[in-house]
Amino acid sequence: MVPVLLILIPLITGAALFAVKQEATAKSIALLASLLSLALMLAGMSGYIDAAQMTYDQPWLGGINSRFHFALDGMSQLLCLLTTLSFPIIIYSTWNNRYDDSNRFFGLVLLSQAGLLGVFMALDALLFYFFWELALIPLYFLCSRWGGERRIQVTIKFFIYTFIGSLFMLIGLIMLYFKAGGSFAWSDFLNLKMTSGQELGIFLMLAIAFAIKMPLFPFHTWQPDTYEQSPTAVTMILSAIMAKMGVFGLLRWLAPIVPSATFLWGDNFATLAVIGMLYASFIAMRQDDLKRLVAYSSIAHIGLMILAIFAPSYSGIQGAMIQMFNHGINILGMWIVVNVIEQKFGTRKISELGGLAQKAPVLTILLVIVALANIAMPLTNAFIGEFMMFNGVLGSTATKFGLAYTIAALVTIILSAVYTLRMIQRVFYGETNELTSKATDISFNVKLSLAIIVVGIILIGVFPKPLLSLTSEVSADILGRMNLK
Amino acid sequence: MNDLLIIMKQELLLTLIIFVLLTLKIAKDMDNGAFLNLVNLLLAINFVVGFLGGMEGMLFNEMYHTNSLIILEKNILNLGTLIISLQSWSWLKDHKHVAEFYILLLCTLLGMFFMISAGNLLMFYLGLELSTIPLAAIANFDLAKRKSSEAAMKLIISSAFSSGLLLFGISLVYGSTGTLGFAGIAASYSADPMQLFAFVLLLAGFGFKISAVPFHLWTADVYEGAPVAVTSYLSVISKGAILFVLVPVLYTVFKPIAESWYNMLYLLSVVTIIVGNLFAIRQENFKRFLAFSSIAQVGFILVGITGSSSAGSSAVVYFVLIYIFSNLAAFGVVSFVSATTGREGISDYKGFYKTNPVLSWVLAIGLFSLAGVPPTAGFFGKFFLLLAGAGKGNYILLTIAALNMIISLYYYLRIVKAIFMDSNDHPIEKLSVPVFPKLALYLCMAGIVFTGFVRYVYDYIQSLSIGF
Amino acid sequence: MGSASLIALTLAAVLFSAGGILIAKLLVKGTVNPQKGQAYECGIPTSSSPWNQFNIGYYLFALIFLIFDVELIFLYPWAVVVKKMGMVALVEIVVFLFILFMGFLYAHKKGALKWM
Repeated sequence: MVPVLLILIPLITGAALFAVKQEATAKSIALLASLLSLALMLAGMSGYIDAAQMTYDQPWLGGINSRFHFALDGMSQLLCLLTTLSFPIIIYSTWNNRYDDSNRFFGLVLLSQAGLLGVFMALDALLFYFFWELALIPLYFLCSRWGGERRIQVTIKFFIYTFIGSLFMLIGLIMLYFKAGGSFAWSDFLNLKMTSGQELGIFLMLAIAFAIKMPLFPFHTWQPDTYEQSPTAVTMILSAIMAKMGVFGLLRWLAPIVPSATFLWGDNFATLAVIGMLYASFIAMRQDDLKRLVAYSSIAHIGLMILAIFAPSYSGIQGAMIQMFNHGINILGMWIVVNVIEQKFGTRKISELGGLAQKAPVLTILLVIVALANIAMPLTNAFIGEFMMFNGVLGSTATKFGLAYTIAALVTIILSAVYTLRMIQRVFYGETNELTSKATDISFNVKLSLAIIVVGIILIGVFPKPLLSLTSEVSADILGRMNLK
Repeated sequence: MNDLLIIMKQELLLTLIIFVLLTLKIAKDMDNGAFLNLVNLLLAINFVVGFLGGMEGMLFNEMYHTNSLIILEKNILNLGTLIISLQSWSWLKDHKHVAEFYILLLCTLLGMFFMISAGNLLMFYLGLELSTIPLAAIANFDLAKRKSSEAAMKLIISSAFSSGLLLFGISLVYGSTGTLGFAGIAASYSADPMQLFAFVLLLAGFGFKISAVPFHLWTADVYEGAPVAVTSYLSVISKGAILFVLVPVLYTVFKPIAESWYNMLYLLSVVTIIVGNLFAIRQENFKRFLAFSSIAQVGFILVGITGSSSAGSSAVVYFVLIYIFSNLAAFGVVSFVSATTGREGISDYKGFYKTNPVLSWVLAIGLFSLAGVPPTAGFFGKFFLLLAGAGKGNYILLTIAALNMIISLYYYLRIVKAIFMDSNDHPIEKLSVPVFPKLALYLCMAGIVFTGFVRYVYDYIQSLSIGF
Repeated sequence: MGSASLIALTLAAVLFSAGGILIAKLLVKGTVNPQKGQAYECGIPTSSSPWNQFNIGYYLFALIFLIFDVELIFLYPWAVVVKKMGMVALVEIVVFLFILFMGFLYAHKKGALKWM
């Protein structure tokens, strides 16, 4: 029952919020609902709830043998935890942002949470596809209604990109459906006997959808625009959680199902990932807009996960798993800071800011920790993940180019240190100017949100074992299917 | 005799309603409001009774047959007619010839019922004619508009032409098999050139009626000129009825030449989707736009038909049901706006959201459902069509269809963008929707939201159509 | 039944239509005079352009006449079998006539039977 409740709580609350008129009430209800789902998730993970309750399996469309099948294995738990943890933080940290029709805003936010949770738990291809879209559609509306100036062009671009991806995925899933003898169950998709041509076809159909989502170079062009134009709360959802949908898709619906095509085409995608990382890092260095800077850095970080998946080894996959979670909370921290700056000063231009450290010391300290995590300093969570991924790529038996990939990826780490630190230096140190001289420190809600993230960063940085053991089984299973150890 | 009453329940009830309306018209002059209330009540009763205690069976030497699927199909058509009737309330309330409108409309529905139930090409042809000729008359019901007359003229001429083709085909079928009964034809049909030729003629006749490319040329003009109620009736009900017939005709009567018609249908569906889509992009009039989009939708339905019989037929019935909801949601808004303000251009809808938020959402959801965006019902409809079409392992067709879904998404979004984003110096003023059209729109919305993922609908349809 | 029959059918159709025109061309000696272009009006000289509009009443009468004409034709075969079929036939013809009678009443009510 837990999966159903996890989806129903945000779904029903989200729908109900459309009827609530007062802004404060709507916000509080949204926060409460997201906290409730977090509590449920934690209760489920701590073993407080009977393990049998963690799956749910009921017939849905009997005629085509599709089922309401949800399950929470290690990877799902990790990502659902990320989702349920992020939403309260997102809502709480942007508490002071003002929106027209805020009840609808928060309603749509919660609907998208329902979709995301469904994606991470579905074990039926049609159900997966359904929630995949359900998670996206509220975002189109959020972005087009509450976004920045160019929101309409950007939303249409975003919509068309992702919809194209979805349709390819749908074709791939239909092909799998017939190959599996008329079943949409994930377990029936494993161990299918296919010719290499068929496997390649399905692989490409699915891979394009996931590549657009993550995004992988050269399918990424929608991403910086969308991140920039969306309201920051939506950008947080997009980058902290939505981007993980693609990575999750690779790990659940691609690599185990068409392992030999993944293996054969691994190098192509790994190369794209490396190019994308370098490309995004270089562009990030030239950005003056805080949102675009974080957006490009996000492409670089996701690229590393893709690399680790397409040049697989146990350590690399495990690294990618834990890094999905880490990147989620780290980038969330970055966005919170960006949001604070934007709300306070009405600008996101790095060149117009400066000297914030004198005025906002608490913010600066918290940001520095988040930023250090973002560039994978030891003792932070990202260090664990990225180190494991480097280790994995280097030691991968699936590719001959492990060393080259690793070196290229290391360059991007250095580059990310360069642009992140330079951003901090320009925005927070130096002289204050007219705009920033009147600044005050952050309010309690931002402090608390950032503090939670910082605690998470350090906690995982020194003691990653619980998260790692959560996903070890899934990672080993994926590798086993690819005949790698 | 008793069996006859039950088996033909739906037809008889409809005939009765027509007579009640005719008698009322003759006996006394009712005012329009009361008359419309009565008609809508009767149609609602008609819809409900359709579900009660049907019976399968054959009548009149297999001229007429019915089964659970056919009963359901008729109920779907009843529902669509009811929704259209509710929607056209604001157009009809000041019209001089309301009674005539409904009598003619219901006559066409009666014709469709006989067509669906036909077990014989002659019966089929009679039903088809009964369902088209009165339509031409009501296409002319915007009496003051020349375009409306033009539409009626074009409709009658093109349907006469297609009937000619159809009749020629039927006569060749009769000439070569010596029978007009479906069972008899199926038993003695083969792929010899004469019979193939006859089939091509029949298919062309069908193609005209469902406006598949290249037989679609009349569609846009007629849709544009006819009153919106008639346009939506043409695009949803009359098309749906023909598709309901087409599936069993292909799969039972012409089963022996399945290989040949598969290729023809394949080609027809590809061309129809592509042409419909590409022309829809450039339309500026809302009704013309919906005409081309409905052509593209027919292409998708044809994709579904190319699959296996049971999957194909259930997907088609399911899609038509959903198509009724989504298209009528869009048409309902357009019809209402057109009846109250007379504006039909797409550019008139710029800034519509500012003045009419609720109607905008209805229109947008209807368009999303037409585009097949999940989680609307339209997605499930398209999904089952594609699934049925892929049943033969034909992924090329599937890919073409999917690519066209993207194209169609573009033009549906264009309108959504106009509604929600664009500004307009003279937006459509704020409209208050009367109770009947509102009820119809609620029905459509409920249909779009629930038909999709409430599994019983599809399962029910499939359980009925597995038989043949 | 094969392609032979299809070809035969096509040939017959072409011959039938083209033959008529051809024979007419061969047999008739063509003369041209202005009277030929005029509309036929009971043998008297035409008084106005043949494209003028007729009163719609003509058509209404013609249509109503046609309907009841056809109705009578249906009655003949019925009369042949009515004895054999008995009661059923009687009921059915009453229904049939009732439907037409309703149509007649409607026409009457609309004033279609009044001249001008």
